[in-house]
Amino acid sequence: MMHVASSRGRRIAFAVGDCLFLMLVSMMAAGIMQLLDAWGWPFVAMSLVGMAAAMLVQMLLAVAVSPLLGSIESMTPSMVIAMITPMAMDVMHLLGGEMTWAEALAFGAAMGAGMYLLLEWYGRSCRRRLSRTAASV
Amino acid sequence: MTSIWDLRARVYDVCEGSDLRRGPYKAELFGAMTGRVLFVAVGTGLDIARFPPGRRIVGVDISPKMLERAEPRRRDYRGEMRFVRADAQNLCFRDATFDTVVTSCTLCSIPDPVRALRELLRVLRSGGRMLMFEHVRSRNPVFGWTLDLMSLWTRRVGTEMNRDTLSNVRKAGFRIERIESVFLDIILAIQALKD
Repeated sequence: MMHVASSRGRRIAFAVGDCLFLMLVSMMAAGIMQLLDAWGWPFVAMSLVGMAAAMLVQMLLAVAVSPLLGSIESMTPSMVIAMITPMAMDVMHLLGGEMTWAEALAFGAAMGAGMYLLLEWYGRSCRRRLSRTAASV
Repeated sequence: MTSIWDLRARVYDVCEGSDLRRGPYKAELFGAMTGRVLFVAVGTGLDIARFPPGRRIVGVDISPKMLERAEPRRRDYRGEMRFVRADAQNLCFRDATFDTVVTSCTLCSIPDPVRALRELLRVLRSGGRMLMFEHVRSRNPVFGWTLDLMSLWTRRVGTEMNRDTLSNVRKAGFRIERIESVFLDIILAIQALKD
């Protein structure tokens, strides 16, 4: 089962789409945090409002790409990265790191690509685990 | 329950536009349909295009509006298909009527999934197979928690994102024969048997 569905061309196309989408969401989240920081918002307000705004933007983007990438497939991992990137920006901020706009966006893109790699690794482990589960039942 | 799905019928095709990615997986799973087939929760009939031709299928849904929307797709199906308005938790068929039962993103939307699965077990003949394309709660804590969070608002429109469907299938009395990952451990293609 699942031979045609997992053909190489389709797998590559969706992998590229997933990766670019996660990079975009993470860059948007980093951009929002950078904007609030530039406006001089206090740390706690920046963290809370930044994450909420990042998640709102993420949801809108996920709905927009769902016909192409799938609703759950786009919504679930992007919601995770929309929470993690603002938190990582907070940590950088607490450590005293100041970023330029270009650095913030590059940081967001790197976080998105990292999330995609984790997703890919977890997807492989799920396929192995589930096929073993099926074989044992 | 019925009114939520009647309302959702208007926008279902726009919101649930995931066929490009999931369609081929569904087509492979549904290829295992044999004999008399029960398709539970037809919706707007998006999945009908992924059914193998020439099968004898009864489709049920709780929402008359959904069945109305699915009607053109039913007519286009190259096989025998009829619709019956019914609640999956209380089906109007005799015991052991069907050889195959099919669900597609169904168990997330039924108030009591174990009760519905027991009904499916009842109407399936002994040795019959259930084919399920379902999304479930991830075992990964981060994704699991994210799906719990999403359920806070999706349940208002009748969809739970965090159901433990594999346990429910076993609890209802089916034997799981095969599980394939479609997306992580969240979207699964499941084959289960009635012994």
